[in-house]
Amino acid sequence: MPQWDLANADCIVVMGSNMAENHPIAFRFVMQAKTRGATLIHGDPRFTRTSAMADIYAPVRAGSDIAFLGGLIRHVLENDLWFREFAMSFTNLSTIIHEGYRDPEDLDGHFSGWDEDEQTYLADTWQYEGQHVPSSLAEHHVLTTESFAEEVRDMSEGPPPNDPSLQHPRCVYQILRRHYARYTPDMVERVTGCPRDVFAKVADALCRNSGRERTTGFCYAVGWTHHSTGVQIIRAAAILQALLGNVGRPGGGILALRGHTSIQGSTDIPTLYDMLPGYLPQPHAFKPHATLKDYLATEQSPTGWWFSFPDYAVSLLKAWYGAAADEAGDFGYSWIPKMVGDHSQLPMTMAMADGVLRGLVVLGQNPVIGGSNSRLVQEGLGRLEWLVVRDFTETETASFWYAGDPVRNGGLQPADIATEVFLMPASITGEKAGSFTNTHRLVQWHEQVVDSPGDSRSETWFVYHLGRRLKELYAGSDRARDQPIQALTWDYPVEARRQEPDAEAVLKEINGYRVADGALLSSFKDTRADGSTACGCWIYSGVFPREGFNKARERRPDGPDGPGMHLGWAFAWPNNRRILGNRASADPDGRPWSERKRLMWWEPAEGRWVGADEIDFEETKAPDYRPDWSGNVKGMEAIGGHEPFIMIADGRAALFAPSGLEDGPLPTHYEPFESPIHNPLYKAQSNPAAKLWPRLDNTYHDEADPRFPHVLTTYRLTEHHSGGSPTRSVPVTAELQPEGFAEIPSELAQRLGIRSLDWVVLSTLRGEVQTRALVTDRLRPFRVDGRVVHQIGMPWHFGWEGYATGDIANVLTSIVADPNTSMHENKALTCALRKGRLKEVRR
Amino acid sequence: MTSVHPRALDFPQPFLDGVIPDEAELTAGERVEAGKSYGFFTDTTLCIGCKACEVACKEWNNLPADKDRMTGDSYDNTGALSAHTWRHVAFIERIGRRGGDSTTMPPYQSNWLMMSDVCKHCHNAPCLEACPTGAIFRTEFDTVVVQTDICNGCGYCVPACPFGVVEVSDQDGKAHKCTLCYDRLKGGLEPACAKACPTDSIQFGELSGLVTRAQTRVFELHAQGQPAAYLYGAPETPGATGGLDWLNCFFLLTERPEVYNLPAAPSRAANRVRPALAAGLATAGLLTLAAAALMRGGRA
Amino acid sequence: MSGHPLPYGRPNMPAAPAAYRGETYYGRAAVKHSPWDWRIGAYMFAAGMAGGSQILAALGEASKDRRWDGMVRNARTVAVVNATVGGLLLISDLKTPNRWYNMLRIFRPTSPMSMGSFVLTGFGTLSAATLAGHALGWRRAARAAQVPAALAGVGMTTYTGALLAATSTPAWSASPRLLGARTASAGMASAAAALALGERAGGRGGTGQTLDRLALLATGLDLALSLTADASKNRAGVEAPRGGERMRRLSAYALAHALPLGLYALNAGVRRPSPGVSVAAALSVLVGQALMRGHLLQSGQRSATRPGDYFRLTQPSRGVQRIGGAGDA
Repeated sequence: MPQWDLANADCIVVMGSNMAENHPIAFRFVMQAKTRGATLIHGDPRFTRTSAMADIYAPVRAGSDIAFLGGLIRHVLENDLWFREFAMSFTNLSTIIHEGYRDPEDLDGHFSGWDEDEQTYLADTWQYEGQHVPSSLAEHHVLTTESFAEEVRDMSEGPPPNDPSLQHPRCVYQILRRHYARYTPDMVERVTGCPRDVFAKVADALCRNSGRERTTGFCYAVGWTHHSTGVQIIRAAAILQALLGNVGRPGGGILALRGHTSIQGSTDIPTLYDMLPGYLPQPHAFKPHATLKDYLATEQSPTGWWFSFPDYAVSLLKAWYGAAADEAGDFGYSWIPKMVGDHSQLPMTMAMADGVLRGLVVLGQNPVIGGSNSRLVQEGLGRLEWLVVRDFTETETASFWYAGDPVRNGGLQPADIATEVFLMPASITGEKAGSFTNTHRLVQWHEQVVDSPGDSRSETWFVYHLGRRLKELYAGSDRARDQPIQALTWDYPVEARRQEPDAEAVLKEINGYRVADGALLSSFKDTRADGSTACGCWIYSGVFPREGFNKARERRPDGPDGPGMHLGWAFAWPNNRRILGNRASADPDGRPWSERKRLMWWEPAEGRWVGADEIDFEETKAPDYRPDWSGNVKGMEAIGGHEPFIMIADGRAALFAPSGLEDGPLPTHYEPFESPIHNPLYKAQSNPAAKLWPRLDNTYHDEADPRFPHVLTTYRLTEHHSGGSPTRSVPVTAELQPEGFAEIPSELAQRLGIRSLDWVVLSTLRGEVQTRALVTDRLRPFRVDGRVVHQIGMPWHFGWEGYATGDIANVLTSIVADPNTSMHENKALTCALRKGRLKEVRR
Repeated sequence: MTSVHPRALDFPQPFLDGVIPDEAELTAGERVEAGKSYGFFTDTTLCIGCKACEVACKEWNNLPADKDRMTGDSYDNTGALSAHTWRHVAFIERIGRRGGDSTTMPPYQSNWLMMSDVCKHCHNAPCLEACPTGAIFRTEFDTVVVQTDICNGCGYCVPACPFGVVEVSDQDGKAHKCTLCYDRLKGGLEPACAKACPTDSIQFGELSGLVTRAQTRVFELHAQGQPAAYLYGAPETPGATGGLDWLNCFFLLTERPEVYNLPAAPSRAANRVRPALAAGLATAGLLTLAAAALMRGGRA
Repeated sequence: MSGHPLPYGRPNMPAAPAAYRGETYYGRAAVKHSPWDWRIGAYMFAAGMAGGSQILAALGEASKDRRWDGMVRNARTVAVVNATVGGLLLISDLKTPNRWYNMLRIFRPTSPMSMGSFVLTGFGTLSAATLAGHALGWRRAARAAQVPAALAGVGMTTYTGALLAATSTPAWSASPRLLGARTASAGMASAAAALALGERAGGRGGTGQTLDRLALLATGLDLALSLTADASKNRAGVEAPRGGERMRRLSAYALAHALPLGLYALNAGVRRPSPGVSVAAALSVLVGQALMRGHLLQSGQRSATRPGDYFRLTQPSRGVQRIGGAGDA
């Protein structure tokens, strides 16, 4: 959903985000909604600047969000407050699940399919009865036993089995009710520490502001993702929103508040190891991905929009390898590196420390500050042969070898560190042209305003010329392993003065073109799997639909009386659609749910969907279209006119997710991997499938370890930007929060004799930091499961460089991750606190 | 949905060759014209404490950063308005033992108050009335500005100000304070802080319209269950007392003024010139007569 | 908002606010103290003495009694020296002293500083004329300049009080009338004491005795005004000085008032007043009044750092009356 659409919401729930502080511009629209009478709810472990603006503040202990959201799901189901017409048609609520399915309620915290030896799940019993369901995520291939797919039907062979009466004990509705039966208000209070009456207020506001006439929006950010259960927390919100009918409608939805200016762009055209541009899966050495044919067959979804997957994959190969990519040579598929496991930042940190990884290029990142277990990161950097850091100022990552923790506090001398560090000056935004993709998938172009000083150059310049030199270096090679570089198209025009590549040429390649004549594609519908089209990222197709028209440069807002979707303002992928799933803004018959929440509707006279937005559906598919299941129905033909979510194989929101998740089809409360209490709900303490890397330099605290009695949560401040380099190095922003600190609840501070500005030491088994205390009543002790738990907060922006300095919070964190995303868990861990300073070894 | 000015449609590109004529009309809904009165309405119930105003102000006015230690006073590390800080966001924690329970708070800011303070550009400005050099003057926009080329750093404006705003810089020996972005107003632009404010807590505009808007907002808040909202500095309200008449930059507050470091009933310093002088002259006259009598008596 | 009385009874109306309960913003100052240092205190002392001297010179001149000739010359000298030194002190206290001349760029009746700049300039020029006339023997010129110089002198003894009062500094603004009055009485006491010293040095016991009586009178009045002013300030909400500040005020009172009053009384009570006692009393007045100017300056600066002082003073119920326009006019 667009941020500005929040202004249309009647209720906004911000959880897992300190939106006012970290997304102040988007928060503008929250305030607009508020001035029009909307209710703002903030659920958070800390009382933040967002809480200060909220009508209801719900204190939720760090890492207990699923218990809270599960409680809301139960409230909605048990009190029959769900939006029946919406959920019956638009979700898989009535679908029947495999008979072997067992719930954590039955298995004390595990789902069926748990493999104790491999510590992973097999998803056989999570499938629809008699069917296997491909995931809508990048990895469509289902993780079941190998023979499973042969025993059951695929999605094109018939409709999913369902029971519209919702009486079948294995229909999703009944499973959900059983699964959340114990998430009562009492249990919510016991687990999360949120008082029952506050929870009741939240539940009431949420349900009162959902339905035909009203919509509620959810906003979250890394307060949900940085957990070992991060994906499942978001899933819980999605279940709630789908049940309440708040998806695809104005003022509804779930807004993932993404950081920086282009974090969304960096997953669309990913810097992630397991995805190719446009959310195509990265080929895997241990999966049936050996040839292009295998890869396409495995990953193509038989039904739904992902049936077009081959068009996008082949067009991508054509964009990368141009003329060298021909059908005979699998379009160069074999040149794409295959992954063999988790190559995300966390295991790569350990690979550095173990001498496996020998060189590292760091672009726009400061892993010494932002990486979990910073001391391990720094030790890893110290074992590299070479390190390239590109930034506009010297970052901690560039200066670790003479100013880092291992050098200051023991162990190492600069002379002991053999890493050759290259610090290369980088241009900043106004010094280069390019695009940002914001949290609303809006691709916005920006122009160069001034030349960057000295030798600093854009990342495009760096990557382009590095590639050019590599191509020159390998030009004469006849070794097979050099072919990927030789075959790569690398023909971007450069400007004469500074040899900067033309960023618009890159955008055109991303948009895609017809190979024969170079004509730009107007949308991803033009892509073909036969090699006749090239497209660098299918979802961006249409951003440069014709020569001379860069849609991302457009700045045409709707006027004062316009529909307010601002279709003339830049380009939102896919196909300039502003609200995803907006078919759901009309009822199953295609009529708006209400006048007040009108967005898209079926116009029978015109035979198409019309409204303020671009329809996120087949434009001419009538609401009464039903697949003809007498034959094999492929692709979009299998999606009925009343099934709005086209990226999902059955077109329906997956309340129960049969595939795509590593840790279960339903969100379940597990304690954070480090927690001061035992899981009050299940014997399984923490997410069984969480990724762990136990080793001497990455040790974990035991469950309820008395040495580390407090909960620690790390976070950001308005005043600083992530790793802090852009703000700590600028005086006028540095002075706003000039020193690192930890926020300590008054009660705990009083007990330990700590006053504001005192020095305190926070410690975990990973390391210790000293920092200033900021004693505040905004952090309150939680009464959880019968005992008082104190939470301490520490912003993680600080380091030793720049004008605003402080110890690095990530020295305290460990490397432990969500199984689906390899996202670290830095929002909830345990620690010890004492007054005083560290004994300094040498400084 | 957000408000879009019709003229915004005239500039459909991301890069402009120059300033948009009368840009304030697009950003603040208001054309800036000489001869009218301008000011800020700072609505503290909309302030999220992001300090964008502080940064925008320092960036535009090229003011130095001069703090390198945290204060421990909530998130306020700026402390006060000064020669080098012309916008200051105050943070007041009233949660827990000091205020109520965070979970039972009334709507809008109440347990953690935030307020972006600024020069009030008083209608009868004590700093201007105190300035002996004429360095401080009233502009064609009815704002109060220090001309630094004339100021000689006598410092009399500093204690004259009833709000502790103006200060003499130790860097150049001149008095400095908010100019309401005089240069930007001359160029038809909205002041930097107001333009940067993401939630429109800082609203710039022509005074009479601004006051109407503010009064409407107060009534809206009362209707929404926030009876404590009131205006400070608008005509006939607290802050507009003691001969100041009104403050061109006024505020919507929800707590006593002192909580935000504002006086409940400030007054014009110049009010005290006449009584002090009169009493002094009377005393001097009395003593002169006495002296004359004594000296005559001495001869006798 | 249970438990929290509304800050103001009715929306937008300053009527009937809840009582001020001592709230401040982390104890931070609500107003700024002036950037002035000891030089301004020294100037106020010098200016008061200079102004008073010219008044006495005019009276001496007008008396047509030649016994006052020495006093008149001394008074003109004191005026010129004090105006010159005082002017230099003022300029040196400017933070941009090379722009001192901008003080005369405009005249602003609302600004005692502006007024004072012209008073000082006029006073200095006229005093120089009286002294030059005297030295060069142009008695008519000196006499012509004398009355205007004395009138400017009245301004000199008075305006520095208005200058402090017309601020938002709590201790200065709390009682403007008393501050104005005590500035004039202090100026006259200093002038009488200083000129009495001259008479004693010149061996003119009779005129010295007259000036002693004047000093006694002015000091007595000054004491009464100062004590009333201090009490009034405290009542208005300005904290009484503590610690070192209190000691400095006590010693200023002791030297400016208690000791000289005792000494003058001693001399008044005897048939043959002792010149030594008279000199001691005069010296005590001068040192004491100088200390008192310093104390006034400093206690004002201190009061500006105490937000409670300012907030108590600016309560609508009484603050407006006390320091606002209506009550004070």
